[in-house]
Amino acid sequence: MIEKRTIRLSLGRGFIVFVFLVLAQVASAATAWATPTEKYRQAIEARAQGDSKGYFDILLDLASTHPTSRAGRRARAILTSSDAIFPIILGGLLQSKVSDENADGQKTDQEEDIPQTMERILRAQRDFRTKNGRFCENFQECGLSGPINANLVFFMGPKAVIGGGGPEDPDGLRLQALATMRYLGVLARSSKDGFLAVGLSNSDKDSDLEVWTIDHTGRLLHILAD
Amino acid sequence: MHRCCKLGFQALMLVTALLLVGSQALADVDVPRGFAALDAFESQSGQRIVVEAAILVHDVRDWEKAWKYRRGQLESFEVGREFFQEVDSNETGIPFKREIQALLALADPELLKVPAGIIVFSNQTKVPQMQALLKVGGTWEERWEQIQGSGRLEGLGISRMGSEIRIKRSNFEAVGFVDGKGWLRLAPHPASLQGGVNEGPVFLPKMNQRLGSPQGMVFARPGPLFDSLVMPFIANESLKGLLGGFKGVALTWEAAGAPSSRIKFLVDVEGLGTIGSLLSTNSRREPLVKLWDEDASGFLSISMPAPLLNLLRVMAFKTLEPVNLNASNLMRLAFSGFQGQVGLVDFNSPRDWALGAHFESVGSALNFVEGLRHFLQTRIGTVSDESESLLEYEKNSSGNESTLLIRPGPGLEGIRIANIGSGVFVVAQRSRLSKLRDLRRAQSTQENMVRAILDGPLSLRVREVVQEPAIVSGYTVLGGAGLLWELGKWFLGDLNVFAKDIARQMSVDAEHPALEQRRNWVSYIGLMELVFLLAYDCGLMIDVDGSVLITQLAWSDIH
Repeated sequence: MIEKRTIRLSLGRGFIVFVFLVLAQVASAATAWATPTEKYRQAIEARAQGDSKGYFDILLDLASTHPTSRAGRRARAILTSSDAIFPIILGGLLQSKVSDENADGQKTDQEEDIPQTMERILRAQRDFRTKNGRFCENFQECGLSGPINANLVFFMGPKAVIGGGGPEDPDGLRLQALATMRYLGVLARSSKDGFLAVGLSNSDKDSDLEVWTIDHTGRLLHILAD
Repeated sequence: MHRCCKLGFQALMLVTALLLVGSQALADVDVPRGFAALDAFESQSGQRIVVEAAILVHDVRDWEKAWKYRRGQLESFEVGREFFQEVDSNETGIPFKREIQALLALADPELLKVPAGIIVFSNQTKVPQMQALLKVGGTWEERWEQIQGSGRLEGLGISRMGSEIRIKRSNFEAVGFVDGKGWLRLAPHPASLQGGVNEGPVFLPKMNQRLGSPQGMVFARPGPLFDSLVMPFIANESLKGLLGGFKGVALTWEAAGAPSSRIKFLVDVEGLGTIGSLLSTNSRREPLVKLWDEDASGFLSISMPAPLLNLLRVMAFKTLEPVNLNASNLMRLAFSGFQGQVGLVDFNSPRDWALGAHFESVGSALNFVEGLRHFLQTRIGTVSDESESLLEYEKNSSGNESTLLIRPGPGLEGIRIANIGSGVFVVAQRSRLSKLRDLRRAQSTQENMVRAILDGPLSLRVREVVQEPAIVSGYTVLGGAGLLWELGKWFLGDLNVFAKDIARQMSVDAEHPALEQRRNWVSYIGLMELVFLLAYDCGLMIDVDGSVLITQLAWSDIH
């Protein structure tokens, strides 16, 4: 009797799990089958609910899977929007040079955060190479897992990442950073003979990021200004 | 970079579009040109009058359709549903919604359209008068009784005594009746209930032609009212002279079955006619736009009018006076060959844009790049000894392609200024420059021009606006999510702390007094942000045709 009941109970549980899995598959398929416009509306709903990660996730998916649809184009425009006013770039080019001189090299705290950390990464990489004959592949290996401002995120590879408030990515900064790096064509990487580390920040919580890179030769580049 | 510096041309166009997006309606595309309300007004008597201003619509139901469309769109989101629940419970929201709905209920449901208008006019007395008209049809009395019973007129101050209909509000009073043709006429004074025939046509032929077939319009014309209320207060003689030639101004709107809309702003000024030919001497088909490839998502092109081009040349020559002779001569030569056509394109990726200017020959374009190099060497040399590391110049072996790289600091990426044929281009990405040059080479052997934007999924209205040759034309796929929040935060005093909460559910922190006082504004900004996110693209054109200045803006929603 007991054995029969146990078997029935097991079958019952198995059936519930099976139904649950089927429903999950159906839900997943329904999302996948959504039209680009429906997906775009889902992204807006996620944004309105304060789910930044979900918002960027859907936009990225739209931009890559439906690039020629209206929703896909709109998603891409959001992900990459607001470069700058071009006349200001042109007119301000020389002016910025003069301003830099006048400011006597002083920058804001926010601007200093990334370059300083990038130099720390360079020093750590060089030390690691001296000891091990190769560059380290992630921050933990380099001993660089200390506290990082949640507005900053650093990459040494697509999955070698620190900052942005941790792996939960509460503000979607890591995802936004990946999207920006992708569109900039900047590939964070580390191998035996070289590395390219990327640092990004979003101090004003808008759609633009500040982007810096540093490589194994010590070349520090300011790719994009926020 | 400061926030305000990021509001590019795209953003400015978009905000303008959003502020006007409330006029969107759904209706048939095939709308008649003439406005029935104006015709009905002119048929009321044979007296000669001057129509000075008016608001005219072909079908008031469009307003209701537009309201339903926008509501349906917003209510598919939780924030929208919450907002409209509050609107419904408080009877707040769109101004005059109840009044318009009550008057619409008077209209015969069998009528295909419910035309209406408010007309400002003057007769021999030169006293400004006003009359409102609404087509309600012949059997309106039966519907009046039904509406009375339903309580829809409650609190609106609308009453009826025999054939007379009266509206009495704290700040407004009107009296009227329904005439034999089924038109409800209302006016602040009974004497204004009789219209008349306008002296001459309302608009001159060019303006009339350019108005097209809108669904509604607001216009103003010169007349006794204009002469007595505007002209005496203009002290500036030049402006007085210009206004003396003023023939009319109009704002029209159209929003058809597809969720796309267009507004036109037209001004007819006699003085423009004389300089109109000068303004359009340049070809208005911007040749640079044809160079853009399939990545392009927005552009702005300007064909500079001859007077402006000459002014620019004079300014450039003055700036070049103190510069060394070599640079000065090259730049002078180049500016002499500048055609006044400038194009700006966004390629939908960060730092991926191009600014182009058209010169008369490859030689002029080469002169410009080389002259600029000498000019910048001189200027940078005065503030830094790093001019060599900040400027990089190269020319290809055949001597017909030159590139100048300008770095903001040693080791930093900068911008490239280069010639492609007879055009000079400014780009931020080296790969973009290579791609544009490859396209140029390919086009010399191909008949088909690359016209990615026009080949894209444009709505009919936006396409019409973008395709029309104009002094200024522009198009963009909308980006900049969060832009309205940023503007709203400025408006509300930089409420960064609350932005996230507002975005989440439109309800706000009641403990913050400043925010609580502006709660309605916050809600409206939030909804506008949502409407903005649901819009897809917009196109703009500005042109002069004879004496008429035309500005058109069209936009469409995601669908």
